[in-house]
Amino acid sequence: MFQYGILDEFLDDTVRILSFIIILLQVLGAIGLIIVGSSRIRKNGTIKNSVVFTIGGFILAIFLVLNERIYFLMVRLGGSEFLEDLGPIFYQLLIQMLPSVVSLTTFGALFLLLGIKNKQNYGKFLMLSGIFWIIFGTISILLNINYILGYIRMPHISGLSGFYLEYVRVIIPVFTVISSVFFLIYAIKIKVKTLLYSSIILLVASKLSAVTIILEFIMIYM
Amino acid sequence: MFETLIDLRGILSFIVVLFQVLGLVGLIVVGTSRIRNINSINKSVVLIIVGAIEVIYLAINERVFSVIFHLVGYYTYEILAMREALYGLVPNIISLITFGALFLYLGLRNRENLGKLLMISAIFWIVYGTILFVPYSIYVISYFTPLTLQVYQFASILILIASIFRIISSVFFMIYAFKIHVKVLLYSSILLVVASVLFFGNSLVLIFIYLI
Repeated sequence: MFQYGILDEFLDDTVRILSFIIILLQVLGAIGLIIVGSSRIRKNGTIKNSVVFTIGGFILAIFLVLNERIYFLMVRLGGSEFLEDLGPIFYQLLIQMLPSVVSLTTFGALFLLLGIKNKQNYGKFLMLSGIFWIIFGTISILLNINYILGYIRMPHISGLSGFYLEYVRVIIPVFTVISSVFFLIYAIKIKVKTLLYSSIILLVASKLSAVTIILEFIMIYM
Repeated sequence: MFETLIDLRGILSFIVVLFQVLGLVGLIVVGTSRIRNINSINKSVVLIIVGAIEVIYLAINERVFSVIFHLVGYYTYEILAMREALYGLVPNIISLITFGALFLYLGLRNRENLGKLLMISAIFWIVYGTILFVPYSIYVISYFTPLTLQVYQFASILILIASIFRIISSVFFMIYAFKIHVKVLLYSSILLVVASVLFFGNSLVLIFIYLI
């Protein structure tokens, strides 16, 4: 029992540190995308509609700066009553679900759009990357909606709205890793250094994110 | 009344960060864009560095404390003082380097082409940052030594004075952006001016809080 406590604490600390590193890497990746999207590279005709990278990086950077702040502002304005009644729902919405929505928009829809525009020049790698991210984002959003609905119906057993769905939550980050690998291949193929660095950073972030989710699962259910 | 002012401060702080991050992303875009082909800005990479450093810090500063607190597991005066430093002193030092030193360097590099406006902006920012050292240090010290209300009032007045210098600095930056005819930079600078004005409003609210 004592040993389990130590392991539990260790896993908890590791998850916290990894989450912090993921955020840091994602910000760096987002800045990289902004740089690629607005840089002179497009003059050479390498990336068509490269402004999409700027938009994606822009949305991601702003979201990373603001999402926790929005939640804490709501908690501050709402007070203890808000925390008791709506706090868990808003936590799920803003901290858990919103990142999926943002990544679905940026890495999913926008990359798919850019991939379609550049299909003839650089193949389908960016499209595939976008598609895999859309799969991840959609399942993740559905899981969060399921959790929120479960909480609204039965607040006293929140989090148990689908134990088996937790297995799905552990499996779906694989899609982000596959998506990041495709993005990396795309970056290697078009030979744009900044994009290559960004894609490596985002690949590391997605792998760490997958590890974090697995550790969280071990912490809760093992 | 007191609670309303505290809430108002929270909202204003949030909006300041929002405008700041929008302006900073604009700086990164300008730094990398094709504009420099027109030879309008020499060493425009400095704009990317400034934008990137500030955006990274804005994204991680609250999370740094959350990780440290989680690892320690309980509050101590040292931890609380560290939080105060992370929210006040550290961003101040970073902005002194970015909007102060780096902009001064950029201003010096572009002095012949585009006048002294960016240099003046940087100098005002350095004044702003230097003044802010005092109140932010007071807040950190307050966790180790009991301070009187007058000290806090003095600190809030200093923040108000500093915020005026910040507005002046931002306005000079805006004029610079207007002069070099770079639209994105102009929009960024306007956003940074708005952020500075809101910061001024926030420091006014802080004075009201201490007067009540």
